[in-house]
Amino acid sequence: METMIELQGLSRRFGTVTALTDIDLTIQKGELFGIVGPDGAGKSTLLRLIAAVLDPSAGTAHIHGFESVREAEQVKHHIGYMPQRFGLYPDLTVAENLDFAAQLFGVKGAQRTERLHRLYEFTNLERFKSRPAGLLSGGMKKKLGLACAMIHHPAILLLDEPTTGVDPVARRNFWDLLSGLHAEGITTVVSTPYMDEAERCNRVAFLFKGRVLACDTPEHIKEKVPGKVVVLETSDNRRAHQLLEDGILILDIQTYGEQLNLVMQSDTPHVLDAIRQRLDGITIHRLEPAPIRMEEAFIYLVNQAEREVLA
Amino acid sequence: MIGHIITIAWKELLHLRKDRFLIPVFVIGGILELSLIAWATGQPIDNIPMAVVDLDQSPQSEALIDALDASDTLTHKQTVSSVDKVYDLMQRNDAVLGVVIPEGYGAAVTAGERPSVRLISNGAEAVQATEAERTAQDIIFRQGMRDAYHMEPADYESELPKVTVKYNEDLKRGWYTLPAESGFIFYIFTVILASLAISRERERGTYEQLLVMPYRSIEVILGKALAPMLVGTSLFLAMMGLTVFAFGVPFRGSFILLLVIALLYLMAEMNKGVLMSIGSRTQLQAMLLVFVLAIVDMIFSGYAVAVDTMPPAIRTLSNFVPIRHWLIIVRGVMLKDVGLSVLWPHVAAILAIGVVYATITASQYRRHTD
Amino acid sequence: MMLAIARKEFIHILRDRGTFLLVTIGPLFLMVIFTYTLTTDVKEAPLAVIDLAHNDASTALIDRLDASPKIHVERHLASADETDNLFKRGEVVAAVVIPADYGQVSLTRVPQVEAIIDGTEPISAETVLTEVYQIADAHSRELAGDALQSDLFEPPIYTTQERLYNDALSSKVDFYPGLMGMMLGLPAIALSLSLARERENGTLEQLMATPIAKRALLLGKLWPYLGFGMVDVYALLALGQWVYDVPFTGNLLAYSLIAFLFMFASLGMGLVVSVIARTQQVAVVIAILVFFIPPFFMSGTFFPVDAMPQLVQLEMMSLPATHFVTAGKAIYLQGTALRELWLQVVLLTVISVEMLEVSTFIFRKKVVGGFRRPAPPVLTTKENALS
Repeated sequence: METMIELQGLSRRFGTVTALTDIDLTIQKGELFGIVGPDGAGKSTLLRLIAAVLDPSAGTAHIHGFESVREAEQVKHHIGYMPQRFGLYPDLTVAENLDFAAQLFGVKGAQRTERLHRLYEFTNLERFKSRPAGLLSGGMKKKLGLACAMIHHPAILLLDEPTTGVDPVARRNFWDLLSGLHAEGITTVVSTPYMDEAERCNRVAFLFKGRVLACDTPEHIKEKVPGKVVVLETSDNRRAHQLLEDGILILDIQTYGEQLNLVMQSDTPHVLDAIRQRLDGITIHRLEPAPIRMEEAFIYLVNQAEREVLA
Repeated sequence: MIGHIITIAWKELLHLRKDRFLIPVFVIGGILELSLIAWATGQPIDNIPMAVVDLDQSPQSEALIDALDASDTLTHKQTVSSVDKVYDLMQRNDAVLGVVIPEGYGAAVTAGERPSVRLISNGAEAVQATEAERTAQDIIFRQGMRDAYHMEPADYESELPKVTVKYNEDLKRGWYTLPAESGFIFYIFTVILASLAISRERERGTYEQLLVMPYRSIEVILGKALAPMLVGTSLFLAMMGLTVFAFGVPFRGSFILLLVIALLYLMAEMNKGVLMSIGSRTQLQAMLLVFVLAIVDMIFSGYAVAVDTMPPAIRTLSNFVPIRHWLIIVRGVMLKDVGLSVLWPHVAAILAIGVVYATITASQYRRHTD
Repeated sequence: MMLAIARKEFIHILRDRGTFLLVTIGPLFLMVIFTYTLTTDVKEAPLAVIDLAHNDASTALIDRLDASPKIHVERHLASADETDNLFKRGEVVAAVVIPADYGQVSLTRVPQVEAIIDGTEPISAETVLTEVYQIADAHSRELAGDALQSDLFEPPIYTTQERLYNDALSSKVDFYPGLMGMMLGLPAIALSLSLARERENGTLEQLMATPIAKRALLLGKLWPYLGFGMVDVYALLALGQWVYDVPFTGNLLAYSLIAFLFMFASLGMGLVVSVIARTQQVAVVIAILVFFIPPFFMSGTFFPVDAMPQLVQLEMMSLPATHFVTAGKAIYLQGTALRELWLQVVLLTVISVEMLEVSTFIFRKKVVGGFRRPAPPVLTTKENALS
C-alpha cells in the first residue's frame, strides 16, 4: 500500500490558543478517511495544514511525498481542497466557476471537455450551468465545490465539513458521491461533526480539543467501548441519573434528549432487573439493549479522556 | 429611559474600545492631515521661477532684473538670449514667468519715453502665473517711477488707491482652511462612527436581537448616538486647540457660543450617520456611503473654495448641507467675532436639517422594527 | 493562469454594480462635480459703494466697477459705518469709499478711493482686491490725464502680456490635468477592495490551495482594472476637450504611455494595500488615505510643489500621482515632448516594478491566524444588562 498522507507530531498554535497538539496520522491510498469531532476540535485547522495553506507550529506533514512547508506548491498540484466556507464566486455562474478552476489547474482541450462532462454528470449540475453560484441551494453549492476541487483529478481530496448546513436528503446524496469516489480508488479525507457520517468512512480519527482520541475503522472504534448499551427512558431522568451514577455495572451514562444511554458491562436480563430495582419509585417507560453506535463510542472516549485529565 | 440609553451607549463605547484600528487611524490621521494642511496653506506662493531676456544690457535693465529677483514671489532662475528660449523653458515647466526687456529700454526710461516690457506667463500654472504677473507689474511700476522721475513709493503712495484688509489682514490661506479642516475632521469621524453603529449589528446578526428587545426605537437611536457624540465633542476640542494654539489662527469670538452650536451641529450630522447606518447592509457599505457624502459635503460646503464663486444652482443646494452653515459659523465666530444676532439663520438651518434627519431616521428604524 | 484570474476579475467588475460604477462612471461623475465647484475664478463678488462725491467721476467709476465680470455693486451706502455689519453677515466682501473731492484733480493732489476688503476668504479676497485696485487706479489716471491734458499720469513703463497655453489664466485649465490624477485613483481603490473581499468571502482560501503563482494571481487581478482605467483616461480626455474646453495639445500616444505607467504604479500600490488590509473596511480607509487625499493636496493640483520644503518634495516622489501630474499636465496643456519627461517615465516604471515586487513579497498563500475573531459583546436582555 502507498502512503498518501503522513503527519508526524503536528501541532498548531494561534497566539496562546493551541488548536492541534501532537497529531500523528498515516493515510493510505484509496482510503475514505473521516476526521470526526465537535466544533472547535481542530478539524479545519488539521485540513488546512494538510492542504498546505497553513504552516504547522511544530511537526511535519508529508502529502503525496511532499513536505507541506518547503514544498507547499508541489503539494497543491496533487490535492483538491474544499474549505468549510463556500469558497467559490457567488457572482460567477456554475459553468464559469468550473471553467475558472479548469484554467487554474491548466486543464484544457479535449481533456477539459471530457472532465467537465463527467463532472456535470456526476454532480447533476448540468441544468444549473448558467445559474450564478450564489443562487444555488446549500447542497448544490457543496457539489459544485466538490466538482471544482476534482477538475484536475487530484490524488487526494480534502473536504472540510462538506455536509454542514445541507439538508438530510442532499447529505445522503453527497455521501453517495463520496462512496462512488472511494470505489474508484481516490484518497479522500473528509471532516464532519456528524457521527452517522463517520460510519460511512473506512477509517476514522476522533478529534477532541486538538488531540486524536482514537484512529481506526468504525468497527474497531465501537469495539473500544467495553460492554453494551442499554436505552433507558423514565419519568425522572435526572433522579435516575443520580441513582445509577455510582453503579458498579455502569461504565458511562449519556443523555440523549428524553433518553439515557447506559454503557454497561453486560446487558443480560438479570442485569436489567438489577437496574429496575435500583430505580425503585421511578416509572420506567423503556429499558432495552441497543446496538452501539459511533455516537456512544465517541462520547465514551471523550468522557474517558476528561476523566483522565481530572485524575 | 435614561438607563436604557446609557446601556446602549456603554455597549457602543465597548465596541469602540475593541476596534483597535479605527480610533488610532482617525486620531493620528486627523492630526497629520491638519498639520499637513496648516503647513501647505501656510506657504505663500513664492519662489516662482522667472526667466529673463535682457536685450538692453543697460544699468537700468539690470536694476529692474535685480528688483524683480529681490521680491519673495519671484526667483530669477535663468537669463536667456531670445524669446524662443523662453518658450522652451515654459514647455519644460522651468519657468512660469518670462520677462523680455527691449533694446533701448534704459535710454527710454530715463528720458520718460515709457518703454514697453513684455511679460510672458505660463498659463498651465494659472495660480502661480496670476500671482507672478501681478507682482511683476507692481515692481516694474515702482522701478519706472524711480528711474524716470526719481520718485520713491512714499512720494506717490497717496495718489494710489488705498486698500485695507480686515479680519485676515495678511490674507493667510491657513486662516480660511484650518477652521474648515478641523471641522471636517471631527464631523467625518463622528458620522463614520454613527454610520457603523447599526450596520455593525446587522453584519454580525445582532440587529434582530436588538429589534426584539423591549427598547423603544428612540432609546436605541439616542443610545447609539451618544457614544459618537462624546468622541466627536472631544475631537472638536482637540482640533480647535490645535488650530488656535499650534497653528495660530485667532479666536476672536465667544468660545461658549461656538461650543454650544458645535453640539447642535454634531447632533445633526450624527442623525445623518445613523440614517446611513440604517440604510446600508454592511459596515463597508455604510463607510462608502459616508465617503461619497463627504465628498459632496466638501464640495458644497465651501471647505476648499468659497461658495460665492460657484454656480447659483449649487449655491442654493449648499444651503441644505449642514457643514456649509457650520463653516460660516466657525469662521464668523473665530475671525469676525460674530454673535448669535447675525448667525441665527444658520443655527436655525442646522437645527432644521437635524430635525428632518431625526424624523426620517426614527420612521425608518420603526419600519424595520414593525 | 494569470489570464484565468484576469478573466474572472473582469466578470466580477461587470457584475458587481458598486465596483462597476466606481471604475466607469465614478471618475467622470467626480470630475464633473470637481470642475464645477473647485474653481478659484471669482464671479460677480458683491461690493458695497459709499459714494461721498456724487459727481460724474464717481458715477463713472461705479459703472466701471459694476461692469467688471469679477465684481458687482450690490449695495449703495451713505456712510462707511455700516460696512462692518455687512461684512459680518457676509452680504458684501468689499466696500469702496469714494471721497467727496473725487475727480477734482490738481497737479498736487489726485483724490483716491479707499477700499476695505473682507479677508475671511483669502483667495477670492485677493482677486477682488486686485480688481478693485486696478480699476480704481486706471480710472484715476484717466481722470488726471483728461483734467491736466498731460500724459504725466501714465505709468512710466508699459507692460504687454502674453499668456501661453491658457489665455484667461483660468484655474479650471490649470487643475484639470491634475484632477485626472485624483480621478484615476478610483480604480486603485476598487482593486484594494478586491483582494480583501476574497479574503473575507473565503474564496482566497480556495485559491491558496491551488498551485497558482503569487505573481500571476496579483498581476491577473491588476489587468482588468488597468483596462478600465485606460478607458477612463480617454473618457476624461474627451470630457475635457469637448465639454470643459481644456484643449489637449500634446501627443496622445505619449500621454497614453504616461497614463498607463501611472495606472500600473497606483494599481501596484493598490495591491500592496490589498495584501496588507485584512478586511474591506480597513482596505477602503487606507485606500482613501493613499489614493485620494494625497493627490488632492500634494500633487501640485492646488498647492504648487515648488513651494514645499525639500523633505516633503522628496516624500512626494514616491507617490505616482506626483509624477503623473507633472508629466501629464506638461503633455496635456503644453504639448511637451516625451523625451523631456524621461525622468517621470523612469520613476513611474520604477514605482510600478517596486510595488509589484513588494506586494508579491509580502503576500502569503497561507491563512495565517485563521479567520477567528474575538466574539463581539452581545447585548443581552434588559434584566441582565441592567443588573
